[in-house]
Amino acid sequence: MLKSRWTFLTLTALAACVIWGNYFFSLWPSLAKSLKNTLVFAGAFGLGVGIYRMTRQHTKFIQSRKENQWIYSILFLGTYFLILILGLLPPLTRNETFLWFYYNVGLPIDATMGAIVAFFYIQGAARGFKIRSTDSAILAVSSIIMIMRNAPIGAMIWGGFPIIGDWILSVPTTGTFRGIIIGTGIGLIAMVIRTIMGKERSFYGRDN
Amino acid sequence: MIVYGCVFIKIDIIKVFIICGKLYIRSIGKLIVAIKTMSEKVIDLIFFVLISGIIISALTKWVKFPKAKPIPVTNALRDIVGRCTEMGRSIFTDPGRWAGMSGSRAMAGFAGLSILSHVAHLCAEVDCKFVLVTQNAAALPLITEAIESRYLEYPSSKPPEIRFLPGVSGNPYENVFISMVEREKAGAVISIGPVGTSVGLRVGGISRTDAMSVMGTDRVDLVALMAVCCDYIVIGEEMFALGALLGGEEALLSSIGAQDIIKALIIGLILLGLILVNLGVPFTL
Repeated sequence: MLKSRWTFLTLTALAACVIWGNYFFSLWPSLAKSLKNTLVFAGAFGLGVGIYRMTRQHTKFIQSRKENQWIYSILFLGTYFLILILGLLPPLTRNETFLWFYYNVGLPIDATMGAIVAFFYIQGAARGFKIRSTDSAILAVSSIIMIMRNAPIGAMIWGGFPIIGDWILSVPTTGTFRGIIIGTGIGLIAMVIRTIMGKERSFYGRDN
Repeated sequence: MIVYGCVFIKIDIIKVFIICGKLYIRSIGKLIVAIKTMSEKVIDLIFFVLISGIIISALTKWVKFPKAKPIPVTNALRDIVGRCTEMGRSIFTDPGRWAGMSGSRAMAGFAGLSILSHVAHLCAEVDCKFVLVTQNAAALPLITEAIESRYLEYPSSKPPEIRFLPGVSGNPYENVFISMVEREKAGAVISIGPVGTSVGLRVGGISRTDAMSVMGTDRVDLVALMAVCCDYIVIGEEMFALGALLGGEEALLSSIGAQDIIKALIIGLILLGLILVNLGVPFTL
């Protein structure tokens, strides 16, 4: 019975009605809050599934001695479970060793990664500047104008850069943003309705 | 004398028009003031009911709306899967970095997953290797169900790989994603869903490889970079519609057609606002 599509759809429709009732008419506040909390529990359960799946996959890599992978898998699983256990030691997430690892290993690695990838961002942006089509030409020209608008030297080179830059920001950009946001909002509502009516089924698996 | 009479009549008619116009504008102005005094939620409710009503009437076929035309990426997905199968390469996918299971961004994640579920089905049909990489723990059971259930009808196909990368930071995730794409020489990358600014790294990385790229997001500020670097893009509402377009059911296509009618109504409202503002009536809600 639980596998039936109709059970799923009825539950979805009921949950939607509760949330809408709460938003529009301030009805059932405690029920709506409980439903929102359920999402947090579902997320926590999902994390458990994720850890299991990840561990199983890397264990397979280690067992099969997958080339260029199994050593990294050992390193990954070792580090992951070490941090996980340290985080669970009392006082929870405030354990001294855990915090030492966090501040002296995790944060510097994260900062280093951020510093390194900055160059790749620039590379990505530079690829965007390559004029291969009308789209990229428009992007390149407008980007150059915006760079010149923001850089102090831009106004010194030509006084028109700030004026054109302001116009790009306030007219085409705002107009386009609003157009896409309105379209997205309508699409979002339409998808919700399709889901509740059981017409949009692809994101929860094959048709039951 | 007659000429003078006609001129007077003309002037009178013009005066009447002006008076009627002013009265009309005043009444619209009063209506707008009345709307302004209404709670914001009441206006939300009116629009929600209106939009939902139109969509429901399309889905239940009460009203016939023009069917939506396919967008380029609809046919491209099948071609991409075919290309990867012929080349013996895998397809890397990502439903985006969701910030949870609720909110509009989560719905964008569901939309992305809906499209990737179709791609998984295409891969299962032709035995093409399908890899899904995700950082979203909360939606992992849903992702697993949506993808793996597509393979139930094709037990002899290569099973899909769902790779979970724990962490919250965007940059390391993008780095790992790109390195996997490069190392495993992926034939295509399909990344549709709620992505963050770190996706700039991915866009740059993918354009270094020979993988075909299909990307889409609900974030408007990231669309420009995708538009110039990717082979196909899915912008904003297309993302929500593509799952339905790929499904191909008549009611679904009609519901997308109905969205165009709603957009036309909104354009009408915008034009009305433009006219009223220029006539001196404030139209801001």
